Amino acid sequence: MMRSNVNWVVIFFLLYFVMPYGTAAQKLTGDTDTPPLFTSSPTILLRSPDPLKLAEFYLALGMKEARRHEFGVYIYLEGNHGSLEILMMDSNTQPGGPKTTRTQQGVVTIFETTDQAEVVRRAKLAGSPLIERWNSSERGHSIYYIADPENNIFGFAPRYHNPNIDVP
Amino acid sequence: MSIRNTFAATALTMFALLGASTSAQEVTGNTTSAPLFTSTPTILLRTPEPALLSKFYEALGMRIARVSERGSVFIYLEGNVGSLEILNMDPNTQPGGPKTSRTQQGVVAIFETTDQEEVVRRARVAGSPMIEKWTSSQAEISIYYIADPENNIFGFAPRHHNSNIPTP
Repeated sequence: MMRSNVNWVVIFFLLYFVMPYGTAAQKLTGDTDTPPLFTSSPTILLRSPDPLKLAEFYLALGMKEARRHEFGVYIYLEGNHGSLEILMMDSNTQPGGPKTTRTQQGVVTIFETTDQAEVVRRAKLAGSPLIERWNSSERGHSIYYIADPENNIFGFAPRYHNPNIDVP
Repeated sequence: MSIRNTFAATALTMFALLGASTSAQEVTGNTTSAPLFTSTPTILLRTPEPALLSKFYEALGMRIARVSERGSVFIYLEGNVGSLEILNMDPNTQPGGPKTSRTQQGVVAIFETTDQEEVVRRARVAGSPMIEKWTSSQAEISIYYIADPENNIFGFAPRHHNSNIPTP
């Protein structure tokens, strides 16, 4: 009976004193047991001094406009599984300069598409300043990197191009 | 017999019209089979030092899946629904300079996360040079835009932040 009471006291002590101290210490050091989870990357923003004009390029590729207002154009992917939002850029900033390869842009998003060849054909017609083909030595597919008239580069891969990633 | 001839003539005319229509579409670039854009599962981030920069994203709570022989770092989102791939930048290119607002970067990808506050706390601890909170006037959500030590900006939104986009 006495031993049972001691056990309960130990449990009480641990729950009310030791564990909260541990959590506070973790907060201070940045080491928590519950890191945030990152669950999707559904929205891509593209900044431009003239969003309505730049959107014409993406509509020419075959993307479908969902809505627009004076500050930008919203494009939804098939099945609404993501969006490309072309919005106003800071008035004191200019789009990046011309690039000769995909590796010169910091952040590049890859879209999956049902028809890469058609995207490339349309990009050429719409005056893309850079179309670069990259071939995967491991998986045998290609990704086309295409620049828009303001030199922003996006990749265009075939659907299900990475067997490790579940996509719609 | 006459009915048969009429049927044959109609069929021939339809084939001719279809052919003419197809060539006109090819010339103008407007085909009826526009490519579909189905997802944005992969985000590439270019840097002179992938191993060093990846430490920042690891500090936010992202989990490194593998590192290639070339030093590329692959991070998979929860449930393998997407990836952030930190790769080598062209040796003749430098990362973008410091930014004071999210609107100064051309392409910005938004990740959904289970714990925005924890991401922000970790970003501060890891020395992010810019954290900008944006609050939607339409829905009661905020998106935090966070710059890494090389001034690349990503957005961090709560899960299911856009009711029009079904996300995992």
